[in-house]
Amino acid sequence: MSRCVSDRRLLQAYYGEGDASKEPHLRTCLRCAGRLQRLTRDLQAVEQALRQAPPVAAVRHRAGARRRGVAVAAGLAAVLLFAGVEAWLWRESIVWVQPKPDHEPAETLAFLEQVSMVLSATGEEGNAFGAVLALPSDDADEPGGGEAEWLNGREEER
Amino acid sequence: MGTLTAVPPWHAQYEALYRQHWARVVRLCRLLLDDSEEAQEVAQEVFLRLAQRFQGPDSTTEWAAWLTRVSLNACHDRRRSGWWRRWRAGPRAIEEIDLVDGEPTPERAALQGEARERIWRAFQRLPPRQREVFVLRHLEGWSTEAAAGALALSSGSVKRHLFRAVRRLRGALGGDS
Repeated sequence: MSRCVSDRRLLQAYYGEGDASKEPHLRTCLRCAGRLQRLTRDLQAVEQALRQAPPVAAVRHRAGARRRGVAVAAGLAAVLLFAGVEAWLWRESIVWVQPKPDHEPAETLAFLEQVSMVLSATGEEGNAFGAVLALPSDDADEPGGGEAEWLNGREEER
Repeated sequence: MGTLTAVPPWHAQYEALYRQHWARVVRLCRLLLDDSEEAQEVAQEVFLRLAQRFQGPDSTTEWAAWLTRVSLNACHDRRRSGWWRRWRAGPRAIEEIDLVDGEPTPERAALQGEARERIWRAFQRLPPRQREVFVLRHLEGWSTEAAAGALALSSGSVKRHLFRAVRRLRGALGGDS
């Protein structure tokens, strides 16, 4: 089993916070000593870079990333707006094309009741009801036609 | 006959603190906010609070730590409230960009510039918490416990954030994690 320290332990050793029992190993193990040396060198380079102002390219990169973010947000907003407008138009169109009833419901019910009475009536009774029905019909204009006559004929056939 | 303006007794100490810490506070705010103009504004807020603190009955001796803590909190508040402003803002002004001095050779300067650029990009990609922990630990020289106290985190949490930040920054340098 390797006694070499983990990266986390190595970082703690760099800060002087690590396990004291590991310190002799860091002095004797060439591999770990080299790792600690590289860590020290890298962190010094990072600290030095961050103590200076950001380079131009990093600023440009950040500005580019921001612009990309704004473009994505704008695109998303446009899609949402389009979807919202489409949904609104769809709802409006449903309301607009809803068919309006030709007749009043009461009128239609009365007519259906009459039809039902005629169909269920027999003989003279039926003729009488048929005559009532013959009044405001489109078929009444047809020569020798009309619902009442047609119904009477049906009765005679029986 | 001219009028004498009364100079408050704390003015000399305030001036000394301003001269000593202004640049450090601005740099700290710039690292945390990633915006030079905002960093200047926040630093002004911090020193305004310092003046108010001098006028109050309470005073402290650890001004450097106090300034860092107040800067940290001010940056926190700014980041929370002004996210839209940062999105709206354009790139930094040209005067902020460093001019290359004549000391290193062009090749060396280019290599150093490239490494610096990679480090900055990696730093800008760090999550805010990792950034704060790294700045406090490395650039401000705070201990893990002090950073944990200032950020209201446990020491273990600070170590974890720090380890991740170091790994990412070293990754940018091409070093082993």
